[in-house]
Amino acid sequence: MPSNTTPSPPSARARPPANDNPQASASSWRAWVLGWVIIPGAVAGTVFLAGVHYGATHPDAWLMTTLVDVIDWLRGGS
Amino acid sequence: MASSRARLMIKLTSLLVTPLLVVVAIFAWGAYVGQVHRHDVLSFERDWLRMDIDVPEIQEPVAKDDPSDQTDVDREVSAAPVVQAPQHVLPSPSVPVSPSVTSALPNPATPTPDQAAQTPQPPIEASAPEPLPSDLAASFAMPFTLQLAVIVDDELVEGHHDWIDYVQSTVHQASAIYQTQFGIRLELIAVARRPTITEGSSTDERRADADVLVAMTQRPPDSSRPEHGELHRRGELSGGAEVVVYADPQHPAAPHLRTLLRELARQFGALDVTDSRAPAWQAGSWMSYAVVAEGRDRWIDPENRRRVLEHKGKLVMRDTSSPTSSNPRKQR
Repeated sequence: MPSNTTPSPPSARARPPANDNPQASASSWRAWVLGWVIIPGAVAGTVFLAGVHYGATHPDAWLMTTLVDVIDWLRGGS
Repeated sequence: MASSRARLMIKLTSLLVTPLLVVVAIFAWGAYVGQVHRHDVLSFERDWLRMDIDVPEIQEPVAKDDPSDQTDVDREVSAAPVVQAPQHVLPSPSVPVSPSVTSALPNPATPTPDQAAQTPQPPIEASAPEPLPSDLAASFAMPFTLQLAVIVDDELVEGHHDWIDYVQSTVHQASAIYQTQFGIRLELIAVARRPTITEGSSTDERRADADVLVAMTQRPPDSSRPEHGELHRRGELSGGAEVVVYADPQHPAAPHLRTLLRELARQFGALDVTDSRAPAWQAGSWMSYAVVAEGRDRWIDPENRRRVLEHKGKLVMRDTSSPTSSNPRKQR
């Protein structure tokens, strides 16, 4: 049985939805902010902070030496 | 059909790999930041997050703060003006050269004092060390300890009856200067006496635990060998380098200090300044053979400072690259 709902295009999903109903609009805004800002930001921040902790506590690991070499190279270092 | 399948495979792969790359890139950038600001991060985790972490101490130019822990030599060195940040005068081409920067050691490769005096250079007041660009600042901030083993000859022992204290004092002063200029701490791990020191005689004296074996002699440089500076380079630093530190009769107050600074800097890639007209010579860089006033002789020119800092970063990486052979004393 075919579904009646069709997924909205990505461009439409990437923007906060507009709605004539004020309550529904506020709820959509919250959902949008939660789904596109807070949760991705928290995930990215957690990954970044995990990297900071790892880099500070394991400065002599092979992963760090490789990483620093690559970043220095990308930044135009020798 | 095949191309459509290939396109689908590419889309599917990019769909899976791209987020993974983004996550890895974020983690990698964080790790880089964490390593560069290691001390701050660890201090924050210890003080605010109550994590059980040992924070490595940052070595200050004056090594010990607690006077009760200092030996007589330490107190003497701490009180000496040479430990203070060096103040230098950079030359520019319109004023006569400072009389303190006049001559060279008797080395055929170096210009004569007359040559130096013929190039009028105006002193420009400058404070040292100069600010560093971000890449060199990161290298400067990396803790690095260079361990030295020193052997001395009989002539030095005769000239300094307290020769052990003398060696300790010289290394201590050099360490303070290296901390100020490069963020490198010098640690003296052994002192020994040897009847005579000649070129290459230190090979069999190599200490396995030392990064550099320093042969310190009371004799002045051998002027008959113009390439004597190069002769002292015996290999890569991590492989156990050896340097010969001659007494510099032009600096009687600390005859071995300036030579020690120069020889160790060579190990990090610094190059001799042999042109008496060069600003580095006129300003009295220790990589030159210029004679400068006491207290103004502990400065390296920016170009050689950059070389040392660049090599320091690589040495830190190289020395700590293998987990099985990681050397914790390098990162303190």
